[in-house]
Amino acid sequence: MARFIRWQGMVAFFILSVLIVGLFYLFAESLVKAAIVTSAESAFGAEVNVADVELSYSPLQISVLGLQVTDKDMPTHNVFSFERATAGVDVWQYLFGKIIVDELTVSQLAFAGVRAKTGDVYQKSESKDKKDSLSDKAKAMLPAIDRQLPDVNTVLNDSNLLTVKASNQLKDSYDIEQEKIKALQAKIPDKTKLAAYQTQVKALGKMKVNSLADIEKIKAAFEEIKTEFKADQALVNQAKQQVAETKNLLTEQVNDLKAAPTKDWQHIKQKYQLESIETEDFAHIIFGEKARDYVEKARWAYDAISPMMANMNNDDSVVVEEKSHAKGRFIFFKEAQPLPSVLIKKALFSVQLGQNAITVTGSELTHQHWLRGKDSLININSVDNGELKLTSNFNLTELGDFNGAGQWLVNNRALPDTELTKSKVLNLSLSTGQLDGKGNFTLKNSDIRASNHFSLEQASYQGTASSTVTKLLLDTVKSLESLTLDVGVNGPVTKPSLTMASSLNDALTGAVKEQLSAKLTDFKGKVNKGLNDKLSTALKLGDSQTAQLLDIEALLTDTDNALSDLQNSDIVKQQQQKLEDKLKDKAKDKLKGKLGDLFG
Amino acid sequence: MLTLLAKLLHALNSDSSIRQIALAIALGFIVGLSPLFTLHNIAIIFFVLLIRVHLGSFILAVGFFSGLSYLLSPAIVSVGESLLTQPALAIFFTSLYQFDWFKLAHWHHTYVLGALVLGVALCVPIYFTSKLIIEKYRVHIMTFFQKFRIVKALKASKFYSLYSRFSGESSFTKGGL
Repeated sequence: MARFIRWQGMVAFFILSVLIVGLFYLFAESLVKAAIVTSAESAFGAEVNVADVELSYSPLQISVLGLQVTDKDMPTHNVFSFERATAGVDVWQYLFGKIIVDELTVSQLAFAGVRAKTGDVYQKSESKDKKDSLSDKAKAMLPAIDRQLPDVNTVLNDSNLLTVKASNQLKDSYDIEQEKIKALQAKIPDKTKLAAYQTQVKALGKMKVNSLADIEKIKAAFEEIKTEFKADQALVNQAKQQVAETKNLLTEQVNDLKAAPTKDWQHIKQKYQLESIETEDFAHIIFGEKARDYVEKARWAYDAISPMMANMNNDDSVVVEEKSHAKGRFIFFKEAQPLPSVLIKKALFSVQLGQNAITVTGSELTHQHWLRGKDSLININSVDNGELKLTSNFNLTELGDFNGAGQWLVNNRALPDTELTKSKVLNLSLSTGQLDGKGNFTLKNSDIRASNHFSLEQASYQGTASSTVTKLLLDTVKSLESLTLDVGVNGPVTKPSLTMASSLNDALTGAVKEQLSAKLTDFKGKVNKGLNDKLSTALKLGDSQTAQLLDIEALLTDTDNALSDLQNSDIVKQQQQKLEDKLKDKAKDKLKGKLGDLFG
Repeated sequence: MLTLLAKLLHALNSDSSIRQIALAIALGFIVGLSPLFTLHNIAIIFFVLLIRVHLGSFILAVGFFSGLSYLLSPAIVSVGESLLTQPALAIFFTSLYQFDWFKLAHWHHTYVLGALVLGVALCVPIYFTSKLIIEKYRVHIMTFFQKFRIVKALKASKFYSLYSRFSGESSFTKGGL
């Protein structure tokens, strides 16, 4: 036995084990700290600072103290920071490959705080341009309503007007079509030629017939004339077809012309932004930018969270990582009391937002809700400045569908100085105000549906305006002590559509409309009159053209009928009949003579 | 501390036959392929320390095959993945999964299981191949290793002089390190 076994090995194993455990115990906190800093810097692309890490082993609890994550877009600020985060980890489950956190508490979580020292940036942000363009887009929503109304004659002399184009086109088409018809008209038989044909046919009818040879002669002559009729009739039909085509073309163009003034007015309204004055969507103008800013923040959060959720969800289905170094994954099988691979049973965050402390509580935070059949719950509460409450729940199904819903409520919340809109013509900010509001939202996969109602009381505004209309707008807003705003958010989270309705619209509609309506109505009347004049002039031309066409059509029909009559003339039959009658008379006379001789 | 370790190594290296070196390489292969701190690795290390195998070769083999496992990781994961997701084996693994030792050993991890299966399957051919190579080329290999700068550096180190004092020059070179 001693030949194969070395008992000293057991001592070595024991010493090695003690050494490893001892080293781990001594350096665990430093190792965990280094791991947190490295992985967070890789994830956020900027410097991450951790003041200290504390580990306690019974029960296993890890505390991270003084974490700061540099904002790579603004290195003087943090994306977020917290004073202390403590997580109690289930050791046994951790050894089995699962991260089950019984309780996670994060205190003094703050966003966008100023850093004591500018942080290093390792990855440049890609979303900056996108952000700017979205912000510009929001600002572009403020129409340049200070623009002067254009001169009516300038508008009406615009060669791009559809009315002008359509009337010119109608005139040109008529000229072309008229040339075509004239060319055909020259070829078709005129009245003189028709009279000559009639004379020729009549002459055939008056010819004396004494024998069948005479009939044949008449027939040959008539056939000869008929060939001429046919040729002429073909020309008449060709002309008739041309007239029909011309009529269709001109009818179509007249219809276009009739519709042109309406289209022109729409174009003028759009070009000179008269539309925005008429729609009176002032809520969108003033609050749209701010609302979009919040939607943008929500989208940022969604963009940050959704890949993590997707990755975690795919964790159980991805087969092999296509990388030079693969790390593998845990495969979890059915068990009596299944647990998700990552689960935070309870979470408590105390968040510092400006002067307000907000408490965020969460429970059952996981990406495998179907295993325990419980939804994740996230509640937000604050009583520092009025009341703020949000309750929400969400779950992911085994098939990967995301469902979420929530309600929120705000009561008596004093709003800080907030910039509402900033553009060349209008700067507006809310100095003070008392906000009440409530709303709800549902999320299904990446589609959001939310309705929110806000009520602002005791509001005071500040701002500058540089045009008549925006001055009026500013004065009206300043005079309002209270207003309501309803915001609807619908569609994909990445690109939702916003709908807004506000009492502000009603208040501003009257004032602005009063100011603008006289000028606008006068302008509208003049432009429409000018357009209608152009239309009627063009239509008059169209009417005379139509009358001319009708005359030509009647003439062609008459010619066609006359030619048909001549062609169908029974002149040969008549002459045949005459010959038969003559022969019958002759035979009768002969018979009478013979009978007289016989009985006479 | 170094004296203690050298004494220990001398005790452990006192008998280094070809079979002991080959077995050390084969076991080093299993340990090297898997992540170091897994249950089966701890058991193998205990076994290596307990039975008379050549520790130097074992440590070298672990180092070498750990590097190799980095390159082979896609294949290792692929083996583990195909075994653990094989529908025909689902009942088998589900029944094993009910035991805590199975989960503790992380055999439900694609990398760990893949490495263990590959390690166990290939350790036998590796044992015999190593044995054959050592038998035929032992002298050449020893010469080869002694040319290494690291060996020369080790020989010049305090640790080596301590080791030599306790084991004697011949036993160290005989050990193959």
